[in-house]
Amino acid sequence: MAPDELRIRNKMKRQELFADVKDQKNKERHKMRKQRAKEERENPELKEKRLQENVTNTIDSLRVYDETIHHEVEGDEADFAQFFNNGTEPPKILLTTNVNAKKKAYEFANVLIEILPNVTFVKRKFGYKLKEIVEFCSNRNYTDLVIINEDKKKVTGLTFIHLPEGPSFYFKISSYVDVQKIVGHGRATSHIPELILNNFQTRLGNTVGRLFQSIFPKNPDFEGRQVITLHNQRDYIFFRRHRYVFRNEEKVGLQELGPQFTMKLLRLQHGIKEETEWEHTADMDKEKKKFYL
Amino acid sequence: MRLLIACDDSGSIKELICNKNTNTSVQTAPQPFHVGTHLPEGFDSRVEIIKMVGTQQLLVARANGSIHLIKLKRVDRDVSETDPAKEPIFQVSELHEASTVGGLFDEARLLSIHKSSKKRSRPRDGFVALELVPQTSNRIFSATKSGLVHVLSIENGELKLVSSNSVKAPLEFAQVYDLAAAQKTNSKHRASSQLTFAYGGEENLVKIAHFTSGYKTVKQIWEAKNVSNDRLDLKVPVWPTKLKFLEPASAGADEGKVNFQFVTMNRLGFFRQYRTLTGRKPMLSKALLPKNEFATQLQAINSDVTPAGNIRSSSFDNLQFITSDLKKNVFSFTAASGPLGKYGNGDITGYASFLNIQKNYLLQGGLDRYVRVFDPESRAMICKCYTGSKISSVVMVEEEEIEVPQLKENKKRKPKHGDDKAEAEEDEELWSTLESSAKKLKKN
Amino acid sequence: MSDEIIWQVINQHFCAYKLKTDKGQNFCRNEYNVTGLCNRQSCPLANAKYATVKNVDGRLYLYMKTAERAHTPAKMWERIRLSKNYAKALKQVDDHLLYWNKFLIHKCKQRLTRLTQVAVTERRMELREEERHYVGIAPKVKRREENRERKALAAAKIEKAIEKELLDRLKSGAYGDKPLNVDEKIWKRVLGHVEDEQDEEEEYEDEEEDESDAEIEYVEDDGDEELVDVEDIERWLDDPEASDSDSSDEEEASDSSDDESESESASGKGKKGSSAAKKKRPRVEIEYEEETQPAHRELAH
Repeated sequence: MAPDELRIRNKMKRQELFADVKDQKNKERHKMRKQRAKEERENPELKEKRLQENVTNTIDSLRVYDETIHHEVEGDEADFAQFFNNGTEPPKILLTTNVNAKKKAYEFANVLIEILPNVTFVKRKFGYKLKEIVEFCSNRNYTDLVIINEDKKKVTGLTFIHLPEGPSFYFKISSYVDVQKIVGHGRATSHIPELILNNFQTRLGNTVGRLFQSIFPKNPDFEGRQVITLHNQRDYIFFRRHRYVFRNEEKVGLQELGPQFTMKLLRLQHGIKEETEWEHTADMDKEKKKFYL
Repeated sequence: MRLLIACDDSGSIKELICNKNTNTSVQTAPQPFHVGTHLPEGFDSRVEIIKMVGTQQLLVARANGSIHLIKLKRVDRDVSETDPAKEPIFQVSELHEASTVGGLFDEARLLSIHKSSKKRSRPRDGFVALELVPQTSNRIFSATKSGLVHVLSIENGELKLVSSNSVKAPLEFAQVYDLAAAQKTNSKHRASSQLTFAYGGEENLVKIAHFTSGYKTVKQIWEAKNVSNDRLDLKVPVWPTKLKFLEPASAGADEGKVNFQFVTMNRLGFFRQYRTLTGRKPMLSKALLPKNEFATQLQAINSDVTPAGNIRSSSFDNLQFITSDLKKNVFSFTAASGPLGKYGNGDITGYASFLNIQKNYLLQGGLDRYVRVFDPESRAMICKCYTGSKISSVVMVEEEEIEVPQLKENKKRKPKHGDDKAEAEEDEELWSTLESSAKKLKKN
Repeated sequence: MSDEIIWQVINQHFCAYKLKTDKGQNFCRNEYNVTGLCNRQSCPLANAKYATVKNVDGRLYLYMKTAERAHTPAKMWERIRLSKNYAKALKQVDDHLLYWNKFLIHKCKQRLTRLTQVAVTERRMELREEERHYVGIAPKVKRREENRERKALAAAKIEKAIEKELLDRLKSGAYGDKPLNVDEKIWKRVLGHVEDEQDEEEEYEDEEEDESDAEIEYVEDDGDEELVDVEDIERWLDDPEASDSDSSDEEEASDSSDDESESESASGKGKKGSSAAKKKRPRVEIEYEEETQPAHRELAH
């Protein structure tokens, strides 16, 4: 109830009255809560029940129905093997930038070299077509090609091309936070980190998840206690790196190692940037509760 | 309607039975009655083309270079576990492989060509055509990307390879000429063993050839010419992707002269019209897409078409076509006015690798793993179904709706639900009786 | 009108093609101008005898006008298509402008050279593969994306999710028998926990087997019923084979276990929907001679 609804023409009087009403309401609420807390202290099932019943609706829980989420993934593992090397060979990655890249791109490349396993950075030369680079890489048994996209002295995107036959992914990169800027950051060691992929649910999400699985080796060094997380929330993929320690069997301590950045899938193409399998378009943003990953 | 869908990821053929307005993306909409997976062989031997031969047989070309003859058998659906009175009654198909011919590919040919072209990643051989030879019921024409042209025969339910010839590779399409009426008037050609087809591909101009002497040899009878150089005096790339014949021009038909009319779709988005009597260059070349976008499909929608998709009309005027690009657009256009409108209204998210018109329905399937049926004229979506796998071919077996007993889809599921509830209640009762009388078990 | 008068007007009064700069050098926008500068010599309006080179639809032409045709504006320009070969084109210019003044010959050749270079560059750019396709993003969209990202990050609770996942991995034994990433004490505790459970299970199963002849059995409700159930079913499903191969003495027993497994697994299939309440209930073994029938009938409903 707003103060205007009291329909008293004297403003001071109205405000006074409204304050009273409000106060009363507050008191009632506090009383009710106190009562409830007391009851619940006596028998905790009530609290459990209440918590179970009163679940807040979030955008995530109200997500538009997507039939691909619980649909089992078609085809055998063997069929995917040609798209994603499944642990048979360790990943071997070539990292490069776009043509005419500026300093930021190289700085980001330095960061990625730390993160990606078995990676070689090659400075991009002018005059080579993408298909030629791909062929060059496949001849040297590279399994993935990663291209940093820099525009106006900002790193804006990352292209992942799985060799030799695709698929190709293009991600938008945003909110990059440098290691130095993270408060209380630790220093990463050269151990192979574990990988956590969270929330990749749909068929498209599965494909993206598989990409990351194929990029990071399957045999992490557990003594390093490092973990790389790719957490998908509302189509934004958050990249984080932590060192963890099990304090007891219910508690884990985390120390961030950095960097942080956010990726968003914009395009998924069959082959080496050929047929589009999925592309983000502006009209996909219209519906807030529709997610694709 | 009943659809057979070639699914890539598992290399299987799926049978889909659904009614109009089915939409798996909407929970309240009708859902498909039945999705059955048949003959999975894995991604490497996925099905590339499906063709119906009559109503009981199916021809299937697989990516491992084999063509299969498959027998369809209808069996009643097993409804024993549910209440038959409340379930829709329909039959499901069983697919049995009857015969196979393999080894129809020649990848070496493609590799040598690939060395000179960097426009695509490493090529895989595949089938580009699988068609019944017109006016026969037991001869099959097939062509591969590597330029091998095969003729097969069905004898007593067995597939046999009759002949294998090679034409200039690579092929993007091979279109059989099956406008029968016109063929008969051509006195030179005897309809019995005459098989004319057009082919073309990357840097391979449209050519028309026919089989001579009982499918033994292939003779090229006509070749197109590339359009003149562009503004910068650069050669226009040759890459026809689809071709559809029209009936030949009647005016001034000179005996002995090659007389065909056809339309082609170019990968660079050019729609072209040819008349062989007028010349080897196209009569009209119209750009439909902006630069750097590629077109792949071509189907006529407002005209009578033959089983092979050729157009029963001798005039180029007023024909409407549909095509798709490599992104996600499926749109119709006319040669005169350009694009008319898109299909799917933003619903299609991946490249439409298959487009065909059957029984006046537009069947669409592609990389986004949905099969959709459209009304070609109004561009309205009739049904949409998630298949879980990339689609490379769709065949509509029959269009009859399935009768749902009394009430529609919601009621169809509700009784089941009710049954469950009743069952649960009964169980509860049973449990309570069990609990109360510790040892003895009483029933109600 | 004589050339001189035209030039007086253009120079001192007004010319629509003139582009004035404050650097003292004026430019000319007339498309026939051979140099692009505004001066007496290269003015295409004030010279009755004039020549230039133009690019029309990708082809180069030499344009010439003479005083003799000045009275017919429609036919004023004579144009000659130049060869694609640069050397030949130069020769053509030389031939057609044989007795013209040196300035025009020189400037036409210069223009020809430049236009040829432009065409070459254009062609090269055309053939170059564009790796990137630029798309504009409206500030509104950018801001919206940023906001959505921020809210998604808040909703994600990443650290909690990571902790949960790590604990799950620890407890499910994904780190192997002797994990290097866990303190030994904690691992022992985790392990002890797990072992306890297993012990219980084993004991429970032992009992199970001993009393398999018993008609009805009531077992206490313990929290790990779920796990046990699954194990039991597995065991039962395996059992018949084992006992078959073992001996025929226990045929009765194996028979009974067979029946149980059937009824149990079948009912499990049928009533998956009503889950928790049922799972917590004591597992009742229905007597196998009388009770299998009702159980089946129940299923038939």
